[in-house]
Amino acid sequence: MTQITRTGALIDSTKPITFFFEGKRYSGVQGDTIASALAANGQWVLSRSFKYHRPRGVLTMAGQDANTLVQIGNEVSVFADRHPISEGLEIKAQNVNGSLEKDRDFFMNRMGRFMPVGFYYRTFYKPKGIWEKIWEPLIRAKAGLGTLDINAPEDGYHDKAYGWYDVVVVGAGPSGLAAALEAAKLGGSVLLVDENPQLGGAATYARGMNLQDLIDHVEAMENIETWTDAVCNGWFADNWLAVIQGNRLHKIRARQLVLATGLIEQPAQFRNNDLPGIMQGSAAQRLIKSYGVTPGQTAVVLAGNDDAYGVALDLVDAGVSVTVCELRKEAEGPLRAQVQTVGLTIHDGCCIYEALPGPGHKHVRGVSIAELDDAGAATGKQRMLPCDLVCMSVGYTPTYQLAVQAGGKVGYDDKTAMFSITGHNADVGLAGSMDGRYALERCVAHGTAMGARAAARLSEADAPEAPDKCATSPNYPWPIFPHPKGKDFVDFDEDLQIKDIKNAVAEGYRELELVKRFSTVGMGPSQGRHAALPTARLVAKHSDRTVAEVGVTTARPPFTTEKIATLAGRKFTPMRRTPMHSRHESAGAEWLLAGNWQRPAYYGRGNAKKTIALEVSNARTNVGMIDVSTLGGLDVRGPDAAEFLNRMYTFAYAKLPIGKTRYLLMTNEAGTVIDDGVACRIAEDYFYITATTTGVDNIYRNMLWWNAQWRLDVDIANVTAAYAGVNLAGPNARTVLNKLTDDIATGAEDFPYLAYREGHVAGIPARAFRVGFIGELGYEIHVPARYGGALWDAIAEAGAEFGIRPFGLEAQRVMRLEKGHVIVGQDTDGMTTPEELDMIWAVANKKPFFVGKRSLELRNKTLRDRKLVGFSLDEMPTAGLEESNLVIKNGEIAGFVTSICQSPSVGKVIGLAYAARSDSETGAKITLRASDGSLHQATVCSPHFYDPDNKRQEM
Amino acid sequence: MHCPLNGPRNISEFICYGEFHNHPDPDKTSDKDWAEYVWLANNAAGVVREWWCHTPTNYWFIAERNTVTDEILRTYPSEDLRPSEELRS
Amino acid sequence: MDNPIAQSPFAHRLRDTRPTVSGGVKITDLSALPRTGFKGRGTRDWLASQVDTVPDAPNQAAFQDDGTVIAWLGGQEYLALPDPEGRSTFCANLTKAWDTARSTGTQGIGFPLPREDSHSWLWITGADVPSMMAKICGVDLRPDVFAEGDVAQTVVARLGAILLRQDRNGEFGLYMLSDFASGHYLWDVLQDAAAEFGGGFV
Repeated sequence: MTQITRTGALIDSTKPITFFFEGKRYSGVQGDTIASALAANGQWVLSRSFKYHRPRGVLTMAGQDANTLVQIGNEVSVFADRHPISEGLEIKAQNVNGSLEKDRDFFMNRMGRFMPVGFYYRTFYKPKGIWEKIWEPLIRAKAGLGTLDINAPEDGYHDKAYGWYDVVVVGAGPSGLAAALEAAKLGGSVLLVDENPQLGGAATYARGMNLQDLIDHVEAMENIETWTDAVCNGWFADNWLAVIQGNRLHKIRARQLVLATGLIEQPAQFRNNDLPGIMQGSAAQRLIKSYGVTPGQTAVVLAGNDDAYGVALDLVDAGVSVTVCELRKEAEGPLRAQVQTVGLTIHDGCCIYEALPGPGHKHVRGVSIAELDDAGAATGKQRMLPCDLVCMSVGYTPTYQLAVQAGGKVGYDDKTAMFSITGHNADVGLAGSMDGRYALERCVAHGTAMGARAAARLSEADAPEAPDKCATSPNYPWPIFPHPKGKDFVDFDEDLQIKDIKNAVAEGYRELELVKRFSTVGMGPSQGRHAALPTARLVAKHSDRTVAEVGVTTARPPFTTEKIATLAGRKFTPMRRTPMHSRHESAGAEWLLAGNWQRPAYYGRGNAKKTIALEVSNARTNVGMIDVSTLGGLDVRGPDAAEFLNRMYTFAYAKLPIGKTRYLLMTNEAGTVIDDGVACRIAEDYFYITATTTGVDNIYRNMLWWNAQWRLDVDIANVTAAYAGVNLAGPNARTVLNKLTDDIATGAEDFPYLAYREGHVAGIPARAFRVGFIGELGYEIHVPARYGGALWDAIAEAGAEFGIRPFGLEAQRVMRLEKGHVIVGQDTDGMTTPEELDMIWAVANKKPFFVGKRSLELRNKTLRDRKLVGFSLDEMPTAGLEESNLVIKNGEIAGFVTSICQSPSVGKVIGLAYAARSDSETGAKITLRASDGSLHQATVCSPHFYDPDNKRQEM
Repeated sequence: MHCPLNGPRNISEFICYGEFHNHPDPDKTSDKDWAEYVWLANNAAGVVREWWCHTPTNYWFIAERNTVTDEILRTYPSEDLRPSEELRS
Repeated sequence: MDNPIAQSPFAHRLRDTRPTVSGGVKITDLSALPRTGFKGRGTRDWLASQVDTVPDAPNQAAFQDDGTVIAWLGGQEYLALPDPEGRSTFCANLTKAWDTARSTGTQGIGFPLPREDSHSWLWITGADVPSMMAKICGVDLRPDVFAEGDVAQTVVARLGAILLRQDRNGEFGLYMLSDFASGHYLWDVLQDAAAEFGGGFV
């Protein structure tokens, strides 16, 4: 059936293209899709079905069915009837064992009776263990579409863009074009979106429809943008639309939306209705009109409406011999009248009872038609018609998905046998055939009215009258003809037959959502586009209800398949760097993430443990420096500043002298510890406070929230990024600092432990305070961020003669653990109270109020049976112990390890853990369970492992 | 969502901080009532007043939202609410 | 910045070799210029006593005669920017006036904010800027919607930012102030978004 020269609206026959399908070479032309080019070459089988591995081919030619899913390179599930061919393109079939032509799993076709509906719910779980051993590996190997190489690099540049329009119209068919044109007349910005390559909708393939005038008008309007090959894949609150065009996802805000999404043609149900060569009438018309492909030589058209006769006439024009099998006993219509004039054979009141497969089920070779009785069921009066093409034109469903996402409910009108939509968002209008206006003129008039309505809603004008719905529809009410031998498919994606739906209802699953979950109907790639209507009809019939009562299952975004890469877009993961970043980089820092900050874990590429130990010992015995710019910083200013801190934190700040610092501990309303830091009093009405790196943004927001209610005369500013900070620590820290400052007295008496000073370090205006986090003589020096690099360089240079070296976060964590300082978030959880941390010293109970005070009073009445304790072991067991390992007491969980390390300074394994209160005294033994399950005994001790008298940090 | 300070913005610029309620006086509240205040939320179906924050500006305001339909009926500055009980001694 | 040791957060990237930039989108780093802000009770009245004109609505900027800008960010929070050539001593004068008032014990005049260190400052100019920004920002910045002097405090590529419409020689332009610590990230994001228009950092 190779066709020499083809003429079609979308192709250019003068430009041949060579491509490969399943390794075989084919020739198509510019503008061809994979499916049209293969069809032109007589290759109709495109895939194998999901369960029975039956050959499948073109059904819709509109990218609406799973039959045409193929794999291109590493991209799986590409619609062959939408994807264009290109020179050298290599395409593979999916879900094939062996080859598409000879699929070794086709025997599954005969196994159908062993796989009744819902069989997986009762088959695979007995005897115990059989699922993991036998079934899961087997099913994993058999299931799924396509093969993905997860290590393949990203394919192409995908991004997103926002867009704003006064009116968006989805669907550029007769009513969509009219709506866009009318909406644009009022001067607002209009976007018209269509998933097809050309404007016109059904007019691009259906017989006797010409919209060129309307299209010309739309294209002449400067305020209408038209996007083709663009699919609106989701509706979200406030008319936020996801529109995908190429590799870009547009997030579009529409003040008004008109949905003119048209209809989706529906297949009929009869035995072997899935054979290649059996397709929708509209698919045959698309092949002829758009691609110049003659879809067969001898056709049977199954008619349930007048559109079928348009298909018949188009086929005749393409040189196909046609017989019509008409479901209705007394049909009439303008196109039928033309067919009668041409003299085609019409079998009135007949259905297709069975399609007959050719060799290997690869194509239809004929149909058996049966006369219908008065109830519309097939009788024994049958005859065989040979054919190589069957076109089904028996009815439609509205493309309701976006309307339903916009809050619409789907109803069913028994008179027209058609779904209808009501109750959608008021800023969404439905236009044309999707809302019951089928005749072309009425469709256009309705589009015009809905376009005017959208514009009117923007100007608060009155909307014009819309034309009424049509009294009749193109739907034949019951195109369902069960066959005793089955294979009369309701859902092609999932290989579900009429009896599967019937049996699901018989099993007691009356509700459609339950039928869906039990049978998997509508769960495949086409998301029930062709299965929803027959399923609703069948469930209604077998549960003695109306179709309206049964309804359809919820439609959620996306409307059609979308790539993960489209959703991902560009990588927007903000990472923060301190002003010293480049210094750390050149010092060979290994990085770790603290919140979204990149911080050095340690310096140098050698053995991590040794490097960290070296950094520790240098800071302990000599002098080290660490970048603490990431630490949260807040300026709290105003007459009520001290009162504000008193309310936010557990400690008391009213009497903190100027030039002094005090520890900050914050609890939430439930009394749980949520942050800590240091408050520096700069002036009577000015505190500079620090907060944890990861907590500061929330703490700041929380403070504003509280003060939105307290309305104290205080201003809070988050200055975290504005200050770069260095902690200069170690016995030689004072000597180093002394070299760098003229106006800050560094002596132990002038600048004692916990004092705050301002002045210049290396000529840079600086805030400096004495801290003891790591347990050595230490100065935290904060300067404006611009000068962070310069400060780091100056300290490094001044410390060079003493052998100063930078230390990273890992060394800092080791040293603070040696001092028993907790890290909020690591050594605390969602329930930790100050009492459990032995930090009642930081809670000023005499204050009338602080956030969490009342809850702590309450919780202190019934203390939980746990405390945070220090523990040590002489050496690390070979099984290893790590954070989160459990503390076991009498076979029960008593707590868990929050911090643990091999301490270079103490020479033991030390850590912090939650343990039973009865085990919190020094000398008690606790049992730790390693990750491999082995148990290890540790001795409880004071958490102040190193320099318990704090002599070193207070030097 | 319409921010009283910044105008209509994508919902991703906001966080919801739960229902608005006056803080009870800790000294005049029984243990049981305090525990309920801290741990239980009304989770009412219908129109509720909620705290919302526009995160780029850290601006807190009140929204009236229908929790059944997720429709935001009205937003306004928190100053327009009755102030909570003064906690300062 | 008169101090040679002070550094823009884009300084290390400005040394990168990069394609020549066309007029569609030009990104200029103004981070080295002075800038300041004031916040807290009394800010509005105090500022009004210091400058010719203050904005009369939040999220609006008032341009002074010498090209400097005062933007009202909401509540009692204001942002002060000099002219983009940095000729004016506007910010230094404000800071000095505040320090003087403060040293005499005046209360209720707000508090200064370290905007030079908390925020980087870019000037993104060119006809394609609205299209480019639409890829990374959810606020409608088209010229007929976002007028000169309009301010938007929003999210750009998941980063908080202050945008202020300030045209350049009749061409569309935006000041963008955003997290000082995220300069490295922002550079990559902007270069990527501008590439489509042949634009980028100049």
